[in-house]
Amino acid sequence: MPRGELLGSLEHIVLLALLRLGESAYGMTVRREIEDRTGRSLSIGAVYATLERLETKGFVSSFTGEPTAERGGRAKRHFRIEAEGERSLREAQAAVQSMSAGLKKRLGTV
Amino acid sequence: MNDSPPRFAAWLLTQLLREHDREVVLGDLAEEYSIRRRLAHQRAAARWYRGQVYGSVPPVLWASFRRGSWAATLAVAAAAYIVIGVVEFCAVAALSTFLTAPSALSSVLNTLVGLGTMVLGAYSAAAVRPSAARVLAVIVALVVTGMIVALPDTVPLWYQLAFLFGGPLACLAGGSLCLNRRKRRNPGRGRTDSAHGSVR
Repeated sequence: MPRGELLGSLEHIVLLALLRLGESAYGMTVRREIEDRTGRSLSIGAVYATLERLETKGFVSSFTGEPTAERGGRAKRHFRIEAEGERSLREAQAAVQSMSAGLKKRLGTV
Repeated sequence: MNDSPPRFAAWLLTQLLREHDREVVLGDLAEEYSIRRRLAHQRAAARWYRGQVYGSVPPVLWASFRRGSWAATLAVAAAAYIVIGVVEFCAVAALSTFLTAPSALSSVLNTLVGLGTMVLGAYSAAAVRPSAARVLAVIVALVVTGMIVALPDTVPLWYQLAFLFGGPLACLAGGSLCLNRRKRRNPGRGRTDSAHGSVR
């Protein structure tokens, strides 16, 4: 199977969060989604640094929304996963599944 | 009751983020801070906000490093550090001609001269490269920490702490002054630290 650039673990998780959130994906919802689902506390700076890397790789794109009062008149930057990002995510998922095949006893529910 | 997020933390993050990210990141934090303030105690919300800011410092600095043009920025910051050292040395030597015996007054004056020189040095560095003041702040923090570890008892504790915390803050303040002045002069132009500088 051809392989593109490997995903880091945080990149992998952020891409999955973008998929789950769809239209409502922006920095804080991504951070909260990861925290709620994994229990892993994450800083907003780490989320944006990861999104920036993914955007540089062409895996995600972003657009700036309108400013809102609840944000002190500041705009949101929405993110969405691109086809290249989905392809990379599928490859990463397949690699994890392939590597964990036959290890169910040792890894439990993986 | 104060409704706004912790001011120092917000200011610190403003200094560290590039303009492209500043508004959206601060907006995200402000949004969740206001939710947490409604749901929990204000003190807990403020603690959360500070935790987010301080936890963001390493990834923000690392992302800035990855964006490149780092060598030039580092060179400007290092040059500014050397100039600050020379100017501070000359100023302290000039002061010592008036205050011959070491005293509390001379220590205070030396601290003020040191921090003032750092503000000016960072201002000049930011005029050459906007992110050089931030790098200078990191250099100052590392050097002062190294000196405190290597020579712990040579100067009073307050003097060490003044430079450990005041030094990096003086650098960030100098950079901030320069960038604010530049923004007032060219209100329509954003600062572009990197290839990603334009807002999509």
